[in-house]
Amino acid sequence: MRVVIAEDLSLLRDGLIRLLTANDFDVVDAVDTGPRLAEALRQHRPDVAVVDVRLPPTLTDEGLRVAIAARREQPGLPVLILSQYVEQLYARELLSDNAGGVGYLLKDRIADVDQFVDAVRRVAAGGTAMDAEVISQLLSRHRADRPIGQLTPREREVLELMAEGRSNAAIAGRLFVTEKAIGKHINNIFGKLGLAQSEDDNRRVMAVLAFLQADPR
Amino acid sequence: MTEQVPASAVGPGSRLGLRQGGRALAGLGLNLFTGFVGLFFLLMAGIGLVTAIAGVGLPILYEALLGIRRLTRLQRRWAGQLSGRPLASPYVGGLDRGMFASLRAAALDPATWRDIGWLALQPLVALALGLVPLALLISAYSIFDSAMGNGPAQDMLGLVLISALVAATWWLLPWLTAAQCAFSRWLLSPSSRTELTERVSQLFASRADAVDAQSVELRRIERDLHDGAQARLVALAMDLGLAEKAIDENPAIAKQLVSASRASAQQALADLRGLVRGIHPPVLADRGLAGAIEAAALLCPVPIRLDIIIPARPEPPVESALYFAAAEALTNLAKHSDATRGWIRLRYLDGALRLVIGDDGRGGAALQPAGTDDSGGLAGIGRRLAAFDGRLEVVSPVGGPTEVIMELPCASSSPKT
Ligand SMILES: Nc1ncnc2c1ncn2[C@@H]1O[C@H](COP(=O)(O)OP(=O)(O)OP(=O)(O)O)[C@@H](O)[C@H]1O
Ligand SMILES: [Mg+2]
Repeated sequence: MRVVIAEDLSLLRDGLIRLLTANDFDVVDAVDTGPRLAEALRQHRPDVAVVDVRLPPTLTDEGLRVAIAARREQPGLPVLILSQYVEQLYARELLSDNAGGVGYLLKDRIADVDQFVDAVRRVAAGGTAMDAEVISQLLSRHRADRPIGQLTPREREVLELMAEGRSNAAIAGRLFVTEKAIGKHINNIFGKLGLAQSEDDNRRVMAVLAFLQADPR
Repeated sequence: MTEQVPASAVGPGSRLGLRQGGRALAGLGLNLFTGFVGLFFLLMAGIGLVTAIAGVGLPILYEALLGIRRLTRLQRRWAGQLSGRPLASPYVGGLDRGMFASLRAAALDPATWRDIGWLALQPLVALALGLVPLALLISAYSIFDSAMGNGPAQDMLGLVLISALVAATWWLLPWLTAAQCAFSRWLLSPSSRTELTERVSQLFASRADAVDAQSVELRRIERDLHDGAQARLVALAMDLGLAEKAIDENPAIAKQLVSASRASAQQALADLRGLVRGIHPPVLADRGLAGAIEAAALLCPVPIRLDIIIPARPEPPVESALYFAAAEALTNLAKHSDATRGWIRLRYLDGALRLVIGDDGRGGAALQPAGTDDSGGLAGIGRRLAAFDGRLEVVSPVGGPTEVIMELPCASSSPKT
């Protein structure tokens, strides 16, 4: 799997290269500025790009902007954004093209190598990987008396993991229950939230994220 | 900078309705009144001064001064109302600290001497200005009296002349009023020196506040670092040291210690994240005030309608002051208001940024809730804005709606391109 990395701190860049190479990724390019990232994405058309939000020369959200622009050029180009902070505004912008193949994770998550590699693979396959903090921020906007409040604690757990972009099997593994039980929970969740079920995993995640991002009322 | 002049103001170029015309005429009359009452007080003050040597004059002088101040206050209020721009009181202190002290203070206050100048000139000015319409109207009347009734041709001519004179009076009125107001403003509103003194003491207070707030903030950061990230890094280093020792004999324990250190590292990161967000939220640097406010509104459990139009990014300190103000107002909205919707409006107008954060909730917000100190979030915003010469206003009748209005002067938000 061919991957482009964009990270300006060499310490982290080298770490990422080592980590991904050790997990059978082929790091075709590792760049350290926004303009170089744009060039690398155009030139290599990687299977997935792992991008630091903040890149020179502006040291603002350069990485995010370049990634979003690149996805406009190459729709569905899988991009995983890494950041020291999560910002709902950025999550929203990343998801707004509804194309899937996006991820937005705190840099801390790299520490859990298996989870992180899993997230990169998921994004490369057109899925999503949203940080748990993005999801919990979204949930905390919804008041207890609204549809979200009608979920049982277990359903809420399942919802959170699903919104992060995990598969039924992964959720089942995390919660130590069967996949069938998870399927039932998901049915209930969709019923309570008034969302149409979808066979396609990715579409399902998008529907949940859209629900969570909508204005609470 | 254009000033907002209320519709009731009378001035050159304003179209005179019957109401304003009446007010202008009454004003000219009032001028004559204050002019002559003023003369009386002036005389009284003079007598007081002359007899002061005998000791009996001082109370007379004091009473005269009280009268003068009352009179000038009346004049100020009226000139402020008519011109639509209030006249501030120019005095350094009131006359309410005992006769001797008050007299001393008044003698040292330049505004007192300007008052006396006004007293001397006002009758002349009022007479001159009042005579103009009077003369015009009297000549109109004398035409009516002498020329009318001598045949249709003369009547016609007389009518035209009379209407011309009345029209001229009407047309002149706003100018006369403006002249009178300008005269009052010249002598009765604070001199630039008083204004400067006032300004300096204001700046002094707000600077002290800002310095205070800053050192409190620095202490908070130091404490947060000390108890948070630093402590966690110490724990992490200890765990790693133990793991290093254990790794050969007891790999299982070493593994446990390593994963504990990972948890410490992540917790330290989370602490630092929170701290940095409180100092300078990255989204503010990335997207400026508009983007950062949008981002903050996204976290609010109440849907917020955004209406933000600013021509350019303000300077960073202004941006950050307004951002934290907005964040506090949004937190309050989520915490106290019980609203179903909120709104945020940000504009750049007349050299100032104006930010309004409103909600349709229960209202009753107060800057300093009764019975508590002023350590609440809103009071904090007020202090922070004051350091930039800004202003905070909370309009929140019980039952709502609430609007928190913040204004910050800011030059560099004007279009640069
Ligand atoms: N949008 C609002 N609607 C209704 N009441 C409000 C609103 N905002 C503030 N208030 C009221 O005004 C009071 C003062 O607010 P302030 O932010 O100064 O203090 P606080 O929010 O109680 O404390 P702190 O900000 O320190 O956490 C609040 O206690 C609350 O009762
Ligand atoms: Mg508050």
